[in-house]
Amino acid sequence: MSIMIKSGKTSMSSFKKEKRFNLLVLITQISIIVIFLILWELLTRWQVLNSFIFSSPSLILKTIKDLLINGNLLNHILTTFIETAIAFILGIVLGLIFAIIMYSFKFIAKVCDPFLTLINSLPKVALGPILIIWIGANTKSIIVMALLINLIVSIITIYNGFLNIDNNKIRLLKSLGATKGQILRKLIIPASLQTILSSLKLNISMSLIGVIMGEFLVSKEGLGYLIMYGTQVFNLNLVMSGIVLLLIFSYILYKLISLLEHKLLK
Amino acid sequence: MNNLVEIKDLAKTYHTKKEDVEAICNISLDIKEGEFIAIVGSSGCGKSTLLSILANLEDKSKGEINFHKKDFVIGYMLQNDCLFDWLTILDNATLGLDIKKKKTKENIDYVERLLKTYDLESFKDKYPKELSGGMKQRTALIRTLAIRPDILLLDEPFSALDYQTRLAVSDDVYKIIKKEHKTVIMVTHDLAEAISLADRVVVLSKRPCHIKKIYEIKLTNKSNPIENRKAKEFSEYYDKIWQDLDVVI
Repeated sequence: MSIMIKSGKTSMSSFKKEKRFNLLVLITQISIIVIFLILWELLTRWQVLNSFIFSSPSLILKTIKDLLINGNLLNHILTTFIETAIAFILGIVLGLIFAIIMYSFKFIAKVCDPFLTLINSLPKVALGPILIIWIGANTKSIIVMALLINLIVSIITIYNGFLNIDNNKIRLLKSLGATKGQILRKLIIPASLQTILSSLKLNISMSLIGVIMGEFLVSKEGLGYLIMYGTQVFNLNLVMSGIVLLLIFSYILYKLISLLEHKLLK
Repeated sequence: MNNLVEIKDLAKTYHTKKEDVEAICNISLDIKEGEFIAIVGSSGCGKSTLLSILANLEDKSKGEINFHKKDFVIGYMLQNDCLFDWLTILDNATLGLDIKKKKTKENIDYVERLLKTYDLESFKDKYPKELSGGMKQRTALIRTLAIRPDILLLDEPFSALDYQTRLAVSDDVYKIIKKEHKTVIMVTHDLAEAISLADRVVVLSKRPCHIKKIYEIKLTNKSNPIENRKAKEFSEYYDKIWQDLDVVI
């Protein structure tokens, strides 16, 4: 009897335990950030770290405030956002189209396979200088740069998602006399929603890498430009601020995609 | 009764790089209207291939299949229910009609009536993950019935279910099929299932498979599959067919 009561108690508190565990994780995570920031601030104030090279939280905050008031910070963020959005949307649309073509025509898929692997393994950044010469030092080469980075990955992820669909379901539709188009519309695309959505997540980070890379190379605006400009004039406060802003920016984009995924998969 | 389907000297050979594999050699079988035929055979003997050929999913190498009816409609049901997670039960049940572009008011009413008759009406706006295994299998059967098939081809339709559910569902499916007066060819490796459900059991040999024997199943007090298992002839059939299969362990 006493054993039964005991076991009842444990199962009750195991839920509580989990809650406490999660809370502990969160508190630890926040503490790490706070301690890191305080340590950084104090070490630079005590001149253990050179604030000219390492900047400091307060200097970064001040720089961001100045940028907001005097500089055109919102313009920079908007530029990076528009470039990323265009590359992202192009990447996902073209990726989906290419994946559908490859799935529909086995011949094309077979022919393309080694080329995709080849291009995928090439560090696309290496193409940057050529892009500038071919397309020019403008927004277009930034977007092409980002597209080069995100497109191949999107194609491969979505195409593999298509290939993983339960063969029995395809057989079922075939036995009902479905055409290729019907199989694609009724089964392949809806069944791949999960894969397509996770490729969105991958795509957004890839797009951002490409855009920042492109901005390093050519731009006159954007967060990547801020970082590059800061390095050139040796204003490390500006560089650090750019990185912090980029961190927040990319986190928000990622969260937006997660939110979308959550909504669509419900 | 009239023959609905006649299979004559059907053969199937797979051509691989190394060799030609003969899967089916010279199968001839007449299927009468309203008949329930079970096909048994050891695993890998080519019994599923036979159904695939009948369902037009694979080409035959030789022989003839004659359907004695105009616009012959085939309903093919696979091992697992193959319901689409993102469609409601009603949409899943009308999938075949949708593909065949026959989603008329009349046909949808027919499906709704089937769902109602087989206790799925209150689930028609739910999604497959909310249903039990047996209910899913029933939905799959209704999806197959929705296109008003002249013959049902069942490929190990219950093998994905656990034993208890399997008994209950096979009972269920049998009642539905009899009520809708359907002709059935079922492939299974479960002898008890074959004997308890079928009017005739066709025993296939090992690969390349041909028909080894055909048993007319005559049970005293034949009723539903679960009761049929209690008939005194049941175990005799079981033993005979078991010996025919010639299983080597």
